[in-house]
Amino acid sequence: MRIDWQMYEDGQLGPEEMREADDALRFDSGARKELEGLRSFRKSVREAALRERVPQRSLERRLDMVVGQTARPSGRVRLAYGAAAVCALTFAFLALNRFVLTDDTVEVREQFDDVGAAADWASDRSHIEIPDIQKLAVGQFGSVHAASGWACFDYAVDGETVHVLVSQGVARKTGCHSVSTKAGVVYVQVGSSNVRLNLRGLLFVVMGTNLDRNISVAESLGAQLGPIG
Amino acid sequence: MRTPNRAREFERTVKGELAVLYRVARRMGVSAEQAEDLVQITLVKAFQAWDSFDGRYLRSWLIRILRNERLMALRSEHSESSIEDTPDAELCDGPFWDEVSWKLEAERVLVELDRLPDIYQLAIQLIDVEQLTYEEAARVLEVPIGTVRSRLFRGREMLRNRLQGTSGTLEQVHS
Repeated sequence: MRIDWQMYEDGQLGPEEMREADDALRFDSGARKELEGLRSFRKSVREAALRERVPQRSLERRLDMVVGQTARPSGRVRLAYGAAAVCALTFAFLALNRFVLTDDTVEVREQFDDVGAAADWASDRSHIEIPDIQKLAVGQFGSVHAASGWACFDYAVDGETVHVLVSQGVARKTGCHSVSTKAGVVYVQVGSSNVRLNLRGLLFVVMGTNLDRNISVAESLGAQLGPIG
Repeated sequence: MRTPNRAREFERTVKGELAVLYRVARRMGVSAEQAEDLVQITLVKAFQAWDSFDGRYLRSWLIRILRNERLMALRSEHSESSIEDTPDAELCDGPFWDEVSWKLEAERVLVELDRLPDIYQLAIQLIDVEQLTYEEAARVLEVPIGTVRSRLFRGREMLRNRLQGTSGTLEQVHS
């Protein structure tokens, strides 16, 4: 009889097969070795996968940015941000993390039907003079959320929600591909689909899963608010 | 409008799942940076849907959002993974796990794990690494439990074969 030890190990055998397998384990050293081998293999794979480096701090900062709510950062965190600025770490983190350094803010989301009202509301909320960006040729404006230092406009584009994050800052070029569009040059971080661009002295980050779509949104932003740069 | 309490609750609840989300993202054929972006988009979507989340199976819920985001990206790139990718020739019959003590270097395991087709990587990651149940994994992957099982078993066997294929460096201890 051939026993599927994976089925056994995962509790997927029927009662009769399970009994046969248990018998085999009692009387057959080969069966025991087979099962031990499988268990050892699974353990090694799990341990290896769990040892993969996880950028926990970076992920937590991204969570902070998403939630838009954070406790006052520690001195160590402030130092880290200072060093990041001096060393010009990746633009994305500078752009996103700056929100954490503002004050104790809470992200608020609003829906707007009235064109112009969204940007006005976001300007008040973020303390940034945000231009009207809710009209895009490529997508339908949905909602806006903002906290002190940033605002995020959500658009439905080809069935996907694309986020346009607006803050003060400058799109960093290092570590990015530059992409020429009809509206000007935008920057794509290597290994990412996020697109960065500068418009009217503000930093815009277009966040969606598809690079081409993000570039289209960036182009549309540039056409409306340009020139880019 | 989302209240501060709800936002804090979301942050507190989800923080413990960040590493899981990142590791699972890495098993979806993306780079480390892309995995971070994918996790971030997942967090945005999860935060938006937080009020409608019923509080059960948080990990499965988050991973399903993550997977859907990845699938949307893949569809737009016209490069969906397919079960037809399966290299059956790698599988074999007969005693398989016997008499081998798998003392594997983590780095090598990760390299070979990354080389598996995504569907097998994901099955191994969800069940063997993150220890989801078959039912939870089936919910995440939106496939029947039998499909989860076959992907998991095949993935393990392919990984085992590939690791053993690197026999010059694989340490096998015959008892």
